[in-house]
Amino acid sequence: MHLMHETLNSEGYAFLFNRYASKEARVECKVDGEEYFLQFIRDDPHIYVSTSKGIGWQTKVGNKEIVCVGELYTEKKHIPFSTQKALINNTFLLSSSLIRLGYNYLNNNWALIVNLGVCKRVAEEVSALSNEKYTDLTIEPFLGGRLSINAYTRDGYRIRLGDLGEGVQNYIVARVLYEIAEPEVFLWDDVEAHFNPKMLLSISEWFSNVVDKGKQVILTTHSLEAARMIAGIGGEKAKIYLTSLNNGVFKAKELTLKEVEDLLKAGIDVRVAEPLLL
Amino acid sequence: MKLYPLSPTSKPAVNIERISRKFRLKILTPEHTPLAGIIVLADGTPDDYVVALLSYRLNGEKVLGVVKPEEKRLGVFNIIPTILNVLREGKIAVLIDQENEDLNTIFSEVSRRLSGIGTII
Repeated sequence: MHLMHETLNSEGYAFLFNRYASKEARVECKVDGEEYFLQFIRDDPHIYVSTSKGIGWQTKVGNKEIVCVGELYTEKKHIPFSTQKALINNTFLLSSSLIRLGYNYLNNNWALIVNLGVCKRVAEEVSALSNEKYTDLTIEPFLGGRLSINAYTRDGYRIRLGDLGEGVQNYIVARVLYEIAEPEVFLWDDVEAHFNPKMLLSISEWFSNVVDKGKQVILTTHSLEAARMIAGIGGEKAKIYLTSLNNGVFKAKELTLKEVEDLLKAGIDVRVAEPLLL
Repeated sequence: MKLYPLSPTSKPAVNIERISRKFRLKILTPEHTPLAGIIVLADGTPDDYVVALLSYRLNGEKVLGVVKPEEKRLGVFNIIPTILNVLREGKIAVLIDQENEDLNTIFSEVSRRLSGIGTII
């Protein structure tokens, strides 16, 4: 999460607070009548994280005693957490801005990955979506003997992953990392980025399969096409939320695919219908 | 009066923006402000140009949403319930071509369609 916000050498989690200045940030929700919250309380350079579960250690922020589950910092990325129990285990966040980091992960864990058989499978899947036909992924020396991750073509050529279209890169890295991590919750920011409609259709089917296995997939998109496709394939399990962040206040409204379609028929694009819907 | 395009990629929104640029008028607003009502374009172009010029002529601070439904002419009355569901307050104006029909015929057809969806003028 931190790396998505890092700017030049400015790091840390100050972005959690409205205009970097507010003292507190809070996410609340109600599930089956029960209220939950996740709270970030700022005491520079510390940010204390507490939840409605009341798990963690006691600490004092100003005059207030709080039970916090973890600590972040406004200016650095170090994250000490007392317990993972308060949070969901094994959550996987993906964004096209994190794909390069995905490469590093693949490189560092190649011995594990290569024996899972996932590379061959993903290479074949990608072949169906692009003009090139790939049979496997490899790590091999490139110019100057430096290592690169390559897609191995049916004709025996290698193409560096970084030289493929960004959609293909995103697809490969996402699929391989997912297979390794097997997360309970899969988050993907701006899911439509770099994908052509064929690839979008393919990942929509993949998301539906993931959800059918009892996992949760949470995606953000600015594309109505992507939202309609993914929700359409997901069927009843898929939910669409229109969200907005205005002056530090986050608002969300649940919409069904039918509502989105009806509004579209009426000439209303839900992405700009904030004055009517939120 | 300013116009808020409820589908910024639609042809009428593009046309309104084009005429705004041509005459150096500020007609469309991207700001998220409460809408005083919605203008429904039943026939598209050149009605979008007319709305743009009317909007400029009726210069003011009120913001109205502008939509061009998929259906044309009297068919647009089928989407009125959808608009009523989301428009908290304000009026709906439907801009429709008279073509060869007389006003009474159009009005009674509109009344019939609206009563069919549980609404009256």
